[in-house]
Amino acid sequence: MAIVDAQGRLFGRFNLLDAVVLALVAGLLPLSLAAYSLFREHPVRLVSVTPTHVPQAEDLRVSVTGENLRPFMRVSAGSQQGLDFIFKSTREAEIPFQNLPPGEYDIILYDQAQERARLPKALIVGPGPFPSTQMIAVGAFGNLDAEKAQKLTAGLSLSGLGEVIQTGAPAPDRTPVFAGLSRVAVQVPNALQVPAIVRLRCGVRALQGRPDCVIRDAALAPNLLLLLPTPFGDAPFLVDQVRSIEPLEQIEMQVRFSGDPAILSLIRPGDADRAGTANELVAGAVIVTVGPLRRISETVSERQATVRGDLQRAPGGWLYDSSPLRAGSFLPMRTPRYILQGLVTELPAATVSGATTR
Amino acid sequence: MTTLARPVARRFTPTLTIAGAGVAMGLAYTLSPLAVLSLAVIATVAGAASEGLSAGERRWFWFLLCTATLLRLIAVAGLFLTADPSQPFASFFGDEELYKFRTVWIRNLGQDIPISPADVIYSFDDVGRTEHLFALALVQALVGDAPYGLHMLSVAVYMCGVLLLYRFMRPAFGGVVALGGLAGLMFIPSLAIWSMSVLKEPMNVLVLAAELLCAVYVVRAPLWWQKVLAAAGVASFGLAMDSLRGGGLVTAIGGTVAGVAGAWLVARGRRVLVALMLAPFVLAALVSMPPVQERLLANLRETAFHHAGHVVTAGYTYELINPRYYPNRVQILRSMPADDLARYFIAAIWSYFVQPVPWAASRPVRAYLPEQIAWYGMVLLLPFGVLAGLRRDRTLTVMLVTHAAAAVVVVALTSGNVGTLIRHRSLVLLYLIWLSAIGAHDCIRRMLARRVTLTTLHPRGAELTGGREEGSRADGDR
Repeated sequence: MAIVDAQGRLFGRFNLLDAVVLALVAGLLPLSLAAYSLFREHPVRLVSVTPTHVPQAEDLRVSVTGENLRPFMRVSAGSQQGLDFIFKSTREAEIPFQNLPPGEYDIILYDQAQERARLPKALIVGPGPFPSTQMIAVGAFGNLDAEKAQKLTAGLSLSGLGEVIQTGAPAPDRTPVFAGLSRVAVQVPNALQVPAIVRLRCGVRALQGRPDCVIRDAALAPNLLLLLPTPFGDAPFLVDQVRSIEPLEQIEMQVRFSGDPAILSLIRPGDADRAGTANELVAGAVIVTVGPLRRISETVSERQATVRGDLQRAPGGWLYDSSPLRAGSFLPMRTPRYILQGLVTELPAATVSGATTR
Repeated sequence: MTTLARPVARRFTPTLTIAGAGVAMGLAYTLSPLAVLSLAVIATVAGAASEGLSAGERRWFWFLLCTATLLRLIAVAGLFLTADPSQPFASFFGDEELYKFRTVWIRNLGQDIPISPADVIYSFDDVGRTEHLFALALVQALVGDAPYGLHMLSVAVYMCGVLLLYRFMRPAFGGVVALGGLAGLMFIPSLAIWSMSVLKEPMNVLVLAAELLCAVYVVRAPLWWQKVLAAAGVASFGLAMDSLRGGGLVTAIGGTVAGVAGAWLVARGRRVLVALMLAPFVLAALVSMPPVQERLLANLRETAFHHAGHVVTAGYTYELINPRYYPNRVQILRSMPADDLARYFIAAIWSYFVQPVPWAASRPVRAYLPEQIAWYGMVLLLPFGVLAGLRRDRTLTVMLVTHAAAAVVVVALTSGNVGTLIRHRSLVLLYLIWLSAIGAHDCIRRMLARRVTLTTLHPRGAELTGGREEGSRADGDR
């Protein structure tokens, strides 16, 4: 029997065209099914994050559950990228974070190309055992040109890190750098520095039990060089003095200086102690009046002086350069011409309100 | 079963073929629009390149091209089918992932599609940044994500460059030489692999080909404004080459300027003689001038410094300078003397042609040995190719030589890693392969012609050589 007969029938029974169509349909069905199962997109979904409330910590690890998770995915908490995506299964992964600041975060899942799923406000990072606080740093912005120096004014925001409170007159840039144990002032050609007082946000950390106020991984202290974000980019800021945010009060006190008569004779009204720096904005003390030289012995004399100091009121009394100051304390007087220590003989009580504040 | 349908005609109608092709194309376009569009580009450009070919030549042309395309399609399909499902896609080379990821991120940023904060930083990382990334991002903005389609786009771009060169070489060097060059560029393994890669090499091939054309037209264009236009083309494509790989502009400008000068010299035999006589004196005078000498030494020290950097990279490396310089590379910049630099220069050029040496104790190098032997063969054929090329098309031959020389010097002086050397050397093949092909063709033609002469003078020679009179056929291929 012919396979296709004179009437075009297959094996004498089926019309060939019908058979082809039937075979095509029968063949297409499994083909379509196979293609569907092979190429079907498996949409990714985020279901939950645990824990949902965590205290702030340096290292933080959260677990996300979802559907169709893949090993190459990534997770961020808001704009804070997770350090890793530890894939456990297509339904679970762990994400470590570092230094996640307190706040409420969306948990966002990305594949290799783009955002794929989001859990709005799913993670709340509360305050940690150590608080965030603010400090006043006095120093100078360096490596500036005239245009940038002009833009540094009081009230300038430092992108979430703090703000500029007061600025001084621009001067040629001389940045002290460490050379072994000593410090060398390096001249930066054609650059200006602008003294400034800035209020900075920092977090208290206790590395090996020593409490520090940390800003950008650095403990805030004199001689620290910070890169502060300004509208014209990161600018170096060299810290000369650090103090708490309590206001300064100008308090007059009696101070007795004693020592070599030759050195004591150098004291004049207007001499100022600026914590050993040349920064005009640093809180210090100024000689207002100075008494006559009184000889005690062949080699020792003394002079009484009225000194006006920038002091801060603290629960235990006055603070000068962040150290307690009371009658009997020694007050340093570091000027370009001499260095002396005077004994505070008379100081108003800290409970009395001061004259002026800065 | 109904019998209303008319009996099917026994003759096969094209309707079913067209319908089948349509379904297949639809399926293929659904899977990868970019691959289908790339194949359409290849078909169109190949059609244009095959215009005016004789029947036999056309048959060979399409055979080579279809085989090359099919092999590449199979390779890309194999990559897709063997991909690890735990990864977003598979790649031939690790570096390709950089291109595939970054181009999608750049595209997404351009279209305001949110991406991971870390990827925003990586998108504009200086490492590996080229303008090619933005071109690929634009393509994916038009056709969507194409981690495998990009491979076919690379194939299309590479083939466009090679076909451009093929059409340019054929009238100058003849159909056999052009087909030989085409076959080499399509099937030399390293070139075949680079041509499929989502790296900058395929784009570099296209830009290099276009720049060479412009360089030749700087000499050959009949009108001055056409020459100016060609020179502008050289500069533009040179900049494009430079944006893809450092030293591209030097290759383009240096190769063209030297090529124009060379073409003028070889136009008259006397000019060549005078130039050969004057060259040693001019060179000696230039080198004895302190500013030129200082500049030359400083540049050589810098390239030697880069070379030393390559030597400390992973993989199989080779040394060109005294070993005492490698532990402290700064010494090279500070105090490498002129005689050491001269030795380094000669060693660099020599190593460019001979590395990796066949006896190198490295498994990847041994795997590369067949291609290395083929490379030696091509290099040995070069002198014959240059002589034969000068007889057929002086300008083009000189341009090929000068461009190749510029590219050789740029790469030879800075290389130190065999993998990088092979990768960069494959681009020089774009210039050299035509000269090697013409050299091979000339040698074979002369050999066959000698056989014919032997047969004519000594009838027994035919028995000795088993000769057939093929020389005349070879002669007539132009």
